[in-house]
Amino acid sequence: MKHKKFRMGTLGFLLVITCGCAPRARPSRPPSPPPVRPGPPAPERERQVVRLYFATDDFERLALEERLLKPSELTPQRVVELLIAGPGEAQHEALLPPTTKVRQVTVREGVATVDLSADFLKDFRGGDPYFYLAVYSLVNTLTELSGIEEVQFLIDGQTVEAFGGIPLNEPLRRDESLLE
Amino acid sequence: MSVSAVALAFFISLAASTLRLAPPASEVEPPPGPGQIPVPQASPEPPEPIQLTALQCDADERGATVRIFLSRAAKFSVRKISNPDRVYLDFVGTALGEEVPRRTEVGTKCLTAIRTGQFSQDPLIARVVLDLPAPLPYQTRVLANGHLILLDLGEGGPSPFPWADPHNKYRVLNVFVIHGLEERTAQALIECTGVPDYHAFFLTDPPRVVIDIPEATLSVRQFVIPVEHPLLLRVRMSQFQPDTVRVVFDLRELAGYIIDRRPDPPCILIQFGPGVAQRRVIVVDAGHGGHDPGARGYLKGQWEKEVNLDLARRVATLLRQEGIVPMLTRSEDVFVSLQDRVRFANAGGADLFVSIHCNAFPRRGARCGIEIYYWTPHSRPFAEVMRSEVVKALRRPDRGVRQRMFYVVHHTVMPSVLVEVGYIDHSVEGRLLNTPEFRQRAAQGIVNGIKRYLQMQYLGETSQPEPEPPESVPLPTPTAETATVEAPVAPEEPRSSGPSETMEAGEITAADRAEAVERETS
Repeated sequence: MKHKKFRMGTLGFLLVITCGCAPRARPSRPPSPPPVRPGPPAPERERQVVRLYFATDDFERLALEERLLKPSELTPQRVVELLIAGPGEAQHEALLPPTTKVRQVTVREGVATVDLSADFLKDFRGGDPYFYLAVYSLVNTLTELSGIEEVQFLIDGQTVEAFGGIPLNEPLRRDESLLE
Repeated sequence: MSVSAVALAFFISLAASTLRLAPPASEVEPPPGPGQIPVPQASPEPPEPIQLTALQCDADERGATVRIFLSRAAKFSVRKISNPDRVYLDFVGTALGEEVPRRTEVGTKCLTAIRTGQFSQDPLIARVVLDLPAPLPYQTRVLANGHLILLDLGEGGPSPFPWADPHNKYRVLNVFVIHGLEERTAQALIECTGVPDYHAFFLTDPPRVVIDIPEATLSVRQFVIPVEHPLLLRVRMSQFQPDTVRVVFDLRELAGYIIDRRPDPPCILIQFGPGVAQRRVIVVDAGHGGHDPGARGYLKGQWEKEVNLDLARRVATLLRQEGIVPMLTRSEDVFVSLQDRVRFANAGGADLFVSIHCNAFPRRGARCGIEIYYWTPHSRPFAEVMRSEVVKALRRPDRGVRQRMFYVVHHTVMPSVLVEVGYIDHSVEGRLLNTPEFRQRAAQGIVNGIKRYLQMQYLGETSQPEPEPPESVPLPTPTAETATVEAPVAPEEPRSSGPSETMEAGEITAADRAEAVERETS
């Protein structure tokens, strides 16, 4: 089942997610909203939920994490960077190598083209079944955004024929069967 | 040597073959024809009489073998009387088939003639009498679940082939053909004194199946057996090498076959069927290659692509020994795109696709075991069979069968699986994957999976396969991670199969010209 995209964030659930924050250092979030933090840093009071897919702790499936982003932050590139930064919940696992850099993400006619640095392939640890999970964590996350149906990978600006049993030279669609 | 082989009433029409492994449900219904036992019913009717359908005799100056075919098992007795010397067999509840000759002259030093008759009507008894020129030792054997009675007269004696190695472990006693249940199917039994290895291959122009049996001495009296069957023309046998018996099945047309070894009676069983020949091409896909090295191993310098390739080559060699044509997507360390691998399999008309990989865990070394992947639902039975055979062969943890959209299993049209034989980054499995013994076992497990799946298809089994009886090597439960000592199972290198029949990507058509391989028998 595909979830509704861009659910409205809970009012008062204000989280400032700093870019580049080390993912493992962050404590896991309680499911209930924290107390409202009054005062400034809230230029926009309306946050939007972004749905990120990491690995379950046994690396068997994809686990969903929801984060709240300012609408201005809610770009495909930012979403990929959040995936690379890793999960916020202790029982989830990062799939993309932390060294991966997002060179560019463009969206055109429903296809998001994600240009990653070669570190993505070079530093990935794990066999094909786990690379499969990594690729689809990215595909499933990006296709949560409205207007994105497929994801095309580029590595250092170039198409790569295949890696880990997945053809990276053609756009990939979601794989719902991986979801937890 | 003078061989006067007499073949009597050769054609056998055994309506029901009981040699099948596990007959599908549809076979439970008795097919039409005499000799079938109807399902027991409330009002007891006298059962159809058993038919004595045919007699065959091979005789030479040292002895003779008489084969008596029955429509089903019958009680029988064998007696010897003298003056004149003769041996007779009485079959209870049995009617003598009309086509069985009443008297056949043989005229050798061991056997004068064979006579048959309906000895008694009530009780119904068919009698076969062998007229002997002198008292001779004899023995009977019951084969094919009672469908076939063999009577050996005289001494077995030394091999008729002076070049046969006296140290050979096995003797090939008999080859005979039984019609299958369905039209245009047949089974051939190569009866041996034990369960030998074999090396089979298929040749065309004319089509024939060749089976070489190592460490064996041919001990039959007839070396060419004509067969009246829509698929089979004749069987030829020879002591091909001092230590090798060759049996050639000449076919009337391209036919498929599946070879199996059976312990009781010890034999090599070959099942022939129509149209299965096209089911005999298997794509063996060594994952990764070239600039795509796959996963990094536990050992220094160990990469997945090299292990995959070696495993694929071993699988190809073993498949050739089974008479199955392997198609390798790569046979060296080159990059082949996923699309090309799939195109190769689909365009080559392969029947099955097996991709060979090694796994690795993101947290290096923290996981081990065997995983099988498939995508299309029709591949699932193949995946399940592959899982059980590979786990059995490797005795490593079974991590099950999963459905993932890997390109090669997603886009191939034939049943296809991706086998992750083990975790190359794991301390135990990484080391094991570096040994020829473990690799050979992995290859054998994969080949067993292929064979067993083909057999299931051939026999029309749709349900999950029954677990096979345990083999001679007992299977310990998967041991702890520390287990590094592995029982020796397979030789490091399989027997060479001569010039390669393997197809490779880009030269599909070059493959079925394997004629040069054969060193012809007789």
